[in-house]
Amino acid sequence: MKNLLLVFVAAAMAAITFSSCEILEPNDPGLLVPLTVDQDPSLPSIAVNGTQLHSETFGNPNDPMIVVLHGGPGGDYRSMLNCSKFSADSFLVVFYDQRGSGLSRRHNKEIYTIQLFIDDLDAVINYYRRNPNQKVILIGQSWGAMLATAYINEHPGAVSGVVLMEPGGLTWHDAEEYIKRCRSLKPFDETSNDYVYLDQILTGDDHNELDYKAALQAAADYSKGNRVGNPGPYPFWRKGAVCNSAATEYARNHPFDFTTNLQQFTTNVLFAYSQLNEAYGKAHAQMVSSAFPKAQLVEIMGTGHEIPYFGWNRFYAVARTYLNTIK
Amino acid sequence: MKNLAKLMLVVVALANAGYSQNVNWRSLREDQPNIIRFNFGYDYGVTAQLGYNRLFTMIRPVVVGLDLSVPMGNVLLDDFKVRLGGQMEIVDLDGFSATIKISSVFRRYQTQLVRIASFGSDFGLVAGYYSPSWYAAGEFGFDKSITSYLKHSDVMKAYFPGIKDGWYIPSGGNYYYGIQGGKTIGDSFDLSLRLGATTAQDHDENAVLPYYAQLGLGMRF
Repeated sequence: MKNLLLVFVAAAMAAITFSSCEILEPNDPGLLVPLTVDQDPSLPSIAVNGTQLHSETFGNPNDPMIVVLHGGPGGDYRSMLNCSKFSADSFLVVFYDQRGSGLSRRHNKEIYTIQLFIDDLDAVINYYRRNPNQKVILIGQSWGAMLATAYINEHPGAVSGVVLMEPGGLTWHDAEEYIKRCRSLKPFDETSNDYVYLDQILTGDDHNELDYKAALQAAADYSKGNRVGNPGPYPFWRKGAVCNSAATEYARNHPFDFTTNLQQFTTNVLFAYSQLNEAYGKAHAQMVSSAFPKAQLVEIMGTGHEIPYFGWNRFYAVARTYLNTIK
Repeated sequence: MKNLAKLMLVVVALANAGYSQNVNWRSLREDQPNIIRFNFGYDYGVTAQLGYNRLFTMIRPVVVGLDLSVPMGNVLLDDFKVRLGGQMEIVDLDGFSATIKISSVFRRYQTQLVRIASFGSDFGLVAGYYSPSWYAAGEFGFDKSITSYLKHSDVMKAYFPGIKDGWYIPSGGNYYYGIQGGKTIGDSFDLSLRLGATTAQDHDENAVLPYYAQLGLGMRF
């Protein structure tokens, strides 16, 4: 009887506590993750290839075009916005959040293929290109560098220059090995346990819930002791959880090889890797870049995987020199 | 009305009395009503769990208790789980036994981006063969995080100023199913092992590692 009374008192206290609070639903748009371009018309966007992409440009539309490709799949270009400074060097800099990523429109998992990302990139280039003589240069980081290579492999004559920052691999085998090195779970590690502990608190099948959870779990990329060398958080808008898992699953089931046609691309490639990314390193950079006939390998000192954010000054100096040779 | 229904759900969950560690009913003795148990293993992270339990005999024997589990890592108690509850044997027939387990669960989780306080419940059924010196059983249950308070860090708010702190319902749930067994050692000790898998509720995405494994040592006194 005494125990029953205690339970009743606890329940009453809980009722008082909760009744004074607004109860929220995690799948309501805009509460835990930002609205996307199809939900917020004030965001800059373009409609291409059957989707709506968050996109903006910096610079003169007639200048040689740099298309910036973010990592992921499922990341966004917010941490790469430093690249907008290339507009001061007479380049048109084009940013877009890839399909299902960042502030771009979401899609269900069934639609994702590697070819779709390549076709989207082609559509973005054609959307902004003023004339056939306008040069196109790709700058990609991580998955974005892999996508840039996939595009070149398919259209070796369409690109005048490319800057690649730590593409995980240009074949699925190499990429998968790199992912394993980055994300191996360590049993007694705070970061690893933070990553998996959340699974008992948040589960979901709705885009908003999954994106929010992905954002929290992405903290593993910059937690203390992370293997990719990021010293802290870096800005993002939204982690496209469905895009990430669907594209990864697609790649696992349809292993890619972006190197089959690279011998036709004889342009010099600027290939950057970071000093602090333990999972990457010079040996991996040499192996991956060897697929190109001509690659200039450069180590960006004092930064980890997120080179355009944490290593901008050093990267800018090297990239600017390279880009001016293309212009 | 909708909020009231959710509120009632929370109150019901908080009112549950439960406990979810392994018990061999045949090895329990009335002169040893206290049980201390240490478990170690994988349960949404590599965790260590310490619990205190007490045996009561009413119409049937009931074990009630409290346990704390913490995941490994260099920050102590930023993440933890506390369970308060009990289990009762509902069938005892020629060595075959079935037990229901009901617990209230409080979870805390903190990273650079968020601090979460979550209230939930754990309902389970364990059935198998029990003798005074050993037991083997199967288990099935539902571990529900019913409502969670999300408090976001300045970093998260800087990246998304519109993000909203507050109580969120529903937040998550996982079914679990597996096997467990135990061996009594001497007069006062029990060694136990739980192995199993988890599946997220409805069509939710499953856990990164949807398994659990726990090795436990209990002492009765």
